[in-house]
Amino acid sequence: MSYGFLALNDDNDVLISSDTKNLHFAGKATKPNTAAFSFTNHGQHQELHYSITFPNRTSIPVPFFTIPHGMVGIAGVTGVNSGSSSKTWTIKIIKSGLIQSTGGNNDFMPEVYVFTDPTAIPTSGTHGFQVFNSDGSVSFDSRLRPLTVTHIGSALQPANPLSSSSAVTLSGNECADINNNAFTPTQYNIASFGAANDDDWPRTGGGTEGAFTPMYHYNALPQVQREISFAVTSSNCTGIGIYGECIGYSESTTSQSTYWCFYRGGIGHHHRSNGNKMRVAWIPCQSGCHWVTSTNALFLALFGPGNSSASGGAWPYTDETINLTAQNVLVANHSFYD
Amino acid sequence: MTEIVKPFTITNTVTEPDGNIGVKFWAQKTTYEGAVTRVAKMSTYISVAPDADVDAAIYAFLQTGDWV
Repeated sequence: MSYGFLALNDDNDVLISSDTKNLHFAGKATKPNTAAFSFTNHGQHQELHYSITFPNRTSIPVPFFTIPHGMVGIAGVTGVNSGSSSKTWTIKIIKSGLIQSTGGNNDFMPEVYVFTDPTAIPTSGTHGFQVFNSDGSVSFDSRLRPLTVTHIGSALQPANPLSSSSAVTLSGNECADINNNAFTPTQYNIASFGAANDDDWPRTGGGTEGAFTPMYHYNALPQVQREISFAVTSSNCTGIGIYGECIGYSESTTSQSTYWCFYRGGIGHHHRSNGNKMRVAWIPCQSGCHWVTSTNALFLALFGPGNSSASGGAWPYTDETINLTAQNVLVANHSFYD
Repeated sequence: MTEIVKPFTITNTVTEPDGNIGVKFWAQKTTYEGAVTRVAKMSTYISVAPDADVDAAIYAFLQTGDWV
């Protein structure tokens, strides 16, 4: 069998190659009825598990997700996993914000379009154009719908999801304010894809007939952790208190609470403007709090032996960013595949 | 020369990937209520523009939370 084919456009971009896996549309993944994991604090988190089954084994499929007009928040792909069969795949997408509904829970969930190499996709028809690679497998098949990338962009989140212009005061006492919203992300960058005056991107308030209907491939690799620690020490003096020092019996209680939140990166539409503007921001993924208390009772604290305590080292992640570099965003038109 | 006591202590600074300065600091506030002395501390992180005054940015942050 002969093999090998290379098609380039005027810019020498590869259109079809026998040396690569050419991605073809395999189908839309099935939406979940509800989120697999969610919480409502810090701007809300939803983890959505989509599924798709191929008739044949396949290498890792590539998902694209839509951002419906009614969808609030931003989203990214966190996982594409299969069982041992390599036929049924789960695509994990996280998003911030509500899942709005006009009747069903998943009305405004993203749609997920899945692309993979043509060997995993059933074909029909007796004519068309096939390209084979060196091992004899099909790398391109015109009877299927190949992925057409219309735009490629770069997305980089701001390093800090939180504004530096407002402070919060949470309880230092045994995580009493664990049900807080102090970590709601407020910061985002703006990214533009395509020409700035592109008129065919989704418009605020809904698309128009024939409007460009984008879908996105974006992996939520960047991560950031933020924490705020509050401590309260109460000293009660039984004796003579002079300017905060105690002569006599003193009891001191210290309680410290450290509130924290992990985020992953995502993209969303910038609803304040029309056209091709995207928000590149953060999705809260896990949050919690750690607390510690201690009590010291001292007699004649001012003159006595006193007490001491010490701590050191560092937690694995404290106000850190991880993998925070510009990520590529692939954009395609999902109306080609509806 | 007047020595100004700052109501906060900077414990670490980093240069963030987008060029801003990440500042880790803590602040403390002490109140006296009869025989009880209450000391509240907060440790947090803010981002400051590279050409901004870090001390002024922290002070402004603490003002919004009624720490100073």
